[in-house]
Amino acid sequence: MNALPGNITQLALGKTEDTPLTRDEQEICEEWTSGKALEIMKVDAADPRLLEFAGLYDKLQNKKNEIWESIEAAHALTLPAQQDVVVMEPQTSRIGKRTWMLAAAILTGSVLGVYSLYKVINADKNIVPANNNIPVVAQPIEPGRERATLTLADNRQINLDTIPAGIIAYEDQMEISKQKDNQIVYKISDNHKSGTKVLNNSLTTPYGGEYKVTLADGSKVWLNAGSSLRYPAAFKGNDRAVEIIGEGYFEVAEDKSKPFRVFAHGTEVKVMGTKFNVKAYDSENQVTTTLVNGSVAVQHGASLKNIKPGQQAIVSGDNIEIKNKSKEEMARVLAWKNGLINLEGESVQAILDQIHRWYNVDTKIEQGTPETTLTGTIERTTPLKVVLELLNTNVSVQFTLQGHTVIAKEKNN
Amino acid sequence: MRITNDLLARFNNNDPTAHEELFKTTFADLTVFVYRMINDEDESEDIAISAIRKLLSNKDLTFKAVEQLKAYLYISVRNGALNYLRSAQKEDPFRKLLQDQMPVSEEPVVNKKYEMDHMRKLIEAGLGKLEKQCAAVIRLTMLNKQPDEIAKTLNISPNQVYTQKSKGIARLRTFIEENGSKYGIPVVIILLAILCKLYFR
Repeated sequence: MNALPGNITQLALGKTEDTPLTRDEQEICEEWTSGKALEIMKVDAADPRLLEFAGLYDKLQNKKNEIWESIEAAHALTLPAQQDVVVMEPQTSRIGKRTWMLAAAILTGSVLGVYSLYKVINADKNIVPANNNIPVVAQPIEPGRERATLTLADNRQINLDTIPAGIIAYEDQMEISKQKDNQIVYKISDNHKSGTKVLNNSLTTPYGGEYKVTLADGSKVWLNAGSSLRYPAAFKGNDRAVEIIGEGYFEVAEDKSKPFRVFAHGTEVKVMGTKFNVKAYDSENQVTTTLVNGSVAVQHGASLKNIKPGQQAIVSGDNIEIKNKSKEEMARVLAWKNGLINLEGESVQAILDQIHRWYNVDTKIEQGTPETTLTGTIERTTPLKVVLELLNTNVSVQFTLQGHTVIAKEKNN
Repeated sequence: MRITNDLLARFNNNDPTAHEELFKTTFADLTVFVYRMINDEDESEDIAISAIRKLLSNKDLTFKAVEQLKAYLYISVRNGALNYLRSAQKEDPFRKLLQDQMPVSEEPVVNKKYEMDHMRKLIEAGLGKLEKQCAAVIRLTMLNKQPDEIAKTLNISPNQVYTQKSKGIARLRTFIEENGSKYGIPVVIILLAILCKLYFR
């Protein structure tokens, strides 16, 4: 076990660097340096509460997105006031989740905040078991729409949903403006000189959001729900490198002297000027690149493959697989960009994933749910209730909304 | 809890995407750790969240290694949990364990202790090996359902619930002891693939 630098332990214990540790606090640090902590960190398979812990773990995993959103909402709102103050909370006044959700709720009047708060308050009451076949709709769940957060190089965050159209920021020599049709555009501004440092911006869509950005070189990126794109405000140097988490459709402006590179989970997509889709959600463990036209090279570790229009490269593990896609299949890959939810050829899980991201609801597949064949597409503006009705026209799987969770299970015929 | 070097690097650079990822990677693990000490779900979440928030709000803090970052978080939540226990005048459940512990022996014994994220995967893999009904009883137990509720849901007698549960738990433990070390980190992805298959059977 590595020894820990003093200031880290001090800070971890909520103290400033020159305050000495109490005996108890020294003990906690000693647990770490001696390696004893490794034992208590771990759960014993023989622990009688093993299943309880596992159940709680699942529950926490399911709500971590929601909690993060409320932390972020509260953080973004209080950022200007807090920016320079490093808040050292005294040990007795922890600011916990409920306080933050409350703050988020009050400050924004946000439905999300209130809802989270409501959920937290009610968390103790055991949620009644999923008693069969009652599709209850407590409150209408809205489809996603055009919204996102822009994070500037100095970590300032701009909520693109609420800010009016017009110039929203200057970054480097670029002027960033929000257009009336809900997209942002980077343009060279005459009044601002370029600095030497590369300033990275990121555009992040929440679940239930999508957005479009025109980058400094004129390349356009459509960002799907629950995704994030990181890019320099101005492209300097010999290439144009951006990084994506989630899904985006790229129309790259041609510039032979500066190759465009997209990084996603250790996979690199190298292009000159072209149109393609990259899908790299954390939950999927693979990066899928689908080429519409032009030519791109997909690199992961040591392997490098070129793909042609109509082909798809799927990187999973260290392997790159190339698949040919028919016109219809291509249309399905790009359905999201054209405002559609694709059902054709999708697994139950993949459909639930799309619903999860676009309607910002939790999803669950009950054990023993069979696969089913669905066809066609659904407009993304369709209310969730109607989407579920359409999905339920299939023979074998029942989709129901219970509270805030869409559940798929086998139909009892 | 698996923090990658890449995540650490981005965290050190104050990359906002790292904040979110770090929160999501650590939140459940830390909360369960605190919960094992203090036995209160809401408080555990609060302690974990405030530790992570404090870390994220300090823009100058950087770590040389993943282990250090992990140590920071565990020390921070352990301290929070101990403060809570002190104010509630309760004992630290780990104290005895920490005192009893002899110096680590060289002989590798049967390992059946894992960090929560790893343990959860092992349980999932083990559940896949159980009969359907047995696995269903375990899953519902994990959802905090009472035996009579489980009996009703699965349409079996309460007695069967007890037998299936104890059988299931025993078999899960054996599975974890036998297979725990096989599911090292590189296998996790393969494991996930198998899980998906099992899930969609």
